[in-house]
Amino acid sequence: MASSTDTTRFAQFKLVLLGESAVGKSSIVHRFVKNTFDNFRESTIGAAFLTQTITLPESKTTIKFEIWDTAGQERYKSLAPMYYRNAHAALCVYDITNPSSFTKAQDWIKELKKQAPEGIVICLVGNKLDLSEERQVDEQEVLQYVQELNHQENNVLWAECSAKSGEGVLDIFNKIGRALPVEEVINGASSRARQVGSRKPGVDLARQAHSPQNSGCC
Amino acid sequence: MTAKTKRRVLGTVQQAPTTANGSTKLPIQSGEHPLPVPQPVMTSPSPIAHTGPDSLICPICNEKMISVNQLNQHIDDVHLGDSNSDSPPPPTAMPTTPQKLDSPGVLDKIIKRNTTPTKKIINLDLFEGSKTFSLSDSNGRDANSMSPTLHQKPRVSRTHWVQPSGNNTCSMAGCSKQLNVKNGIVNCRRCGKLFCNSHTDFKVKLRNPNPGESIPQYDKDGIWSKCCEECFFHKPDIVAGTAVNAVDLTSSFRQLRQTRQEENQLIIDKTVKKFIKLVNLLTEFYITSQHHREAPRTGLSSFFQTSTLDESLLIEKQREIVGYENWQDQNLVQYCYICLTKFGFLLRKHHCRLCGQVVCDDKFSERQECSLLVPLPMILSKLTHLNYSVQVKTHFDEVLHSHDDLFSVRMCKNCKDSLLYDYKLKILNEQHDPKLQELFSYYNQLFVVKEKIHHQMAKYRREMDAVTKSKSNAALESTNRFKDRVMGSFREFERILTEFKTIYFVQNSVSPQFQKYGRILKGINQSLILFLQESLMEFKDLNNRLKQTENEAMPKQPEVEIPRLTKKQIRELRESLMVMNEQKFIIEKLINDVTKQRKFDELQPLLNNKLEITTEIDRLESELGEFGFS
Repeated sequence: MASSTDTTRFAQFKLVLLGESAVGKSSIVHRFVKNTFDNFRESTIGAAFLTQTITLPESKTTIKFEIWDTAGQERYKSLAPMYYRNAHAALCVYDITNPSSFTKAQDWIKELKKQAPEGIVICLVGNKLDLSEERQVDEQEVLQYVQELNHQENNVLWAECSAKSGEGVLDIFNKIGRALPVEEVINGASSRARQVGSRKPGVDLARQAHSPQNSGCC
Repeated sequence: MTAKTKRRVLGTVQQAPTTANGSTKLPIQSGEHPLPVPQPVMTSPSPIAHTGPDSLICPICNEKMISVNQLNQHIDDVHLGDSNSDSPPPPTAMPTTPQKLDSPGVLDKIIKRNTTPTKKIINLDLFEGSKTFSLSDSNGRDANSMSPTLHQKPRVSRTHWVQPSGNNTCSMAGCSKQLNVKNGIVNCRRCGKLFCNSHTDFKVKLRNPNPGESIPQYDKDGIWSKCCEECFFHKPDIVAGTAVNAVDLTSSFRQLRQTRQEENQLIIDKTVKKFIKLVNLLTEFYITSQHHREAPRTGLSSFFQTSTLDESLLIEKQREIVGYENWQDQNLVQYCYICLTKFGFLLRKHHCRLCGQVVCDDKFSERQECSLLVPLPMILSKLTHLNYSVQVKTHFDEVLHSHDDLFSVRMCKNCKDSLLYDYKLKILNEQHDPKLQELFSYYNQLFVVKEKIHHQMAKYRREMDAVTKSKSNAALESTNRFKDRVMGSFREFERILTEFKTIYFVQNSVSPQFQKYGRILKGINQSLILFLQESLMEFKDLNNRLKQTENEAMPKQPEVEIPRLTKKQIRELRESLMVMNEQKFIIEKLINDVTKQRKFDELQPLLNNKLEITTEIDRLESELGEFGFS
């Protein structure tokens, strides 16, 4: 019913957050999803799942992000491929006060280019903008890096934000939303998207029958 | 009175059965017992220990016994100590069965009997084996606390015994059993040390120590006593019996052999000297006879025919050479000294011209030929380099080729053998030369390699021991290299051995053309094979040890290749699997929450993710295979 008409379109996208541990991935997600910030957030275990919807007014599109917030610790490294494997967007987060985290983010980008599906929207995010006095990762440097990447026909976005203050967080997701191939997904380019799209209108009773089963087994 | 009854022994009657009316009948019928019949003092029925041949009851505690021996043992063991107690528990009513006292066996066993009603002792000496009656009244020994047996049976002193102190172990080397009631606490009667039951199974005869001796001594007339293994094997006769009887006779044998050889050599020398003289003599005769008579070809006949004087002179000379004292008087000899046959009409006597003994020459019988008329040239041709006279040497060729009968000499078998001993030895050596030389060269080669392997093996063993201790990589490496060297030696050995075998052997048996050397070949072959087997076995063993040590020393290296996955891989895979399982749990929890919160739009990605995780887990588990957690 909400197919390719002029009315608000709806698209669902899978988004994964990558980056070194303690750069603020979860904080960004929480700022984005719940608009909260916890000074003493515990480190993520495995991968957390959250959803948030944004609306792009210019294209009258509602985009729902299925956000997979992966743990940055080395231990959970093996989880990441599973989440970025069929993700539409990836946030490579680094801490602007920590150069090594930027290196790590670069590594992630490399890995994504190798392993992730083509057309994935990669966004390099420098977090902890509130600590810009202690900045150690130079903006210019990053910009240069991003430009270099984009020269090689990579679609890499770059943004800086502060999960603490909330500065720039929403912008990032808006940016991504605009970069995402909304049309394709809606037009049913990918079977998965179509499936997701068909999910929206009604409630599938059969699914409900499955769910308790799943929950019951734990 | 019953209370005072004290018996030791045999469940047979030791007291006359008393009937209910109080009269005691002694069922001993034979008059051989001059024992005073015990008076029936008591009115209560006296205990009867014997209920029949099959069932015996201890007269003191009423315990049932199977055999007389057992009862005796039981009394010894259980009731010996309370011999002083005034009142042993009075036996309760017992079936008074007719006593079997009339059986002579039982009667015989009754040795001692106390006539007084207060103390009655019947001592049946079963174990001493004495069949004679020894009657003694133990009345007078009331004060003595010892059991009657102590007086009856001499006992070896116990003063040297080690007293058990709560926590003893068997003194037997390698036993270390705790000494308790179960294992037994037994003193060796000789050394006095404490042992368990199983290590005092030996018995020796001992006597009490004389003054100055601390422990009982072995004595053939002593008492059989328990002892430990050590004391048993120190028994004088056993010591004598097991003493090493071997005597090294090598030196005396060597001496004997030496003298024998010298004697032989002496005989050979003597014979050779005599032979030389004989040759000289005969040559002189031969030449002179030739010159004088001009009859070169018919030597003997002409010689014998023409001049008996010459003949007698010749014999005289021969006697001289042999020595008059050696020249046997043929009238005194009746038997051939070699074959011991009696001489007779048909069996002529001959003098050996070398030793002078009288021998026969019976070449027609089955007996061996004791003497022969040997043509001298035959021997001369074999012994060309003896120290002959100048005359012989100058005419040597002539003499050698003469077929004159004159030039023959009778010699006995023994003399011939000793004369040709050196020659035969030489021939024997020469004969084998060409082929044997080759054979021996092979043997030498093999022997050298064999020695080499032997030394290398010893070194390998030493290095192996060192490596097992140190386990250092450098040592391992050098040992490995050395192993290769030993291997090389073995290969060389094998090569020569195969060569050797292909030449001399046809399918594991000596090839026909070398049958002559069969024995030596077989010997060499056998020894080599034995050597190879033994060394290879050890070599293999050492190699295994080396490998083992190597594996222990460097466990990583071999495992890199052997297992499908490296340790690192396994660790990583396991880690991933663990993470995946955690994640699955998280997701499942999320699904649960989402379902509860009815956020069904979020459910789908989670379910998808769960599916993904599950497949991932399956993949990891299958990859890990046997290295997985389960």
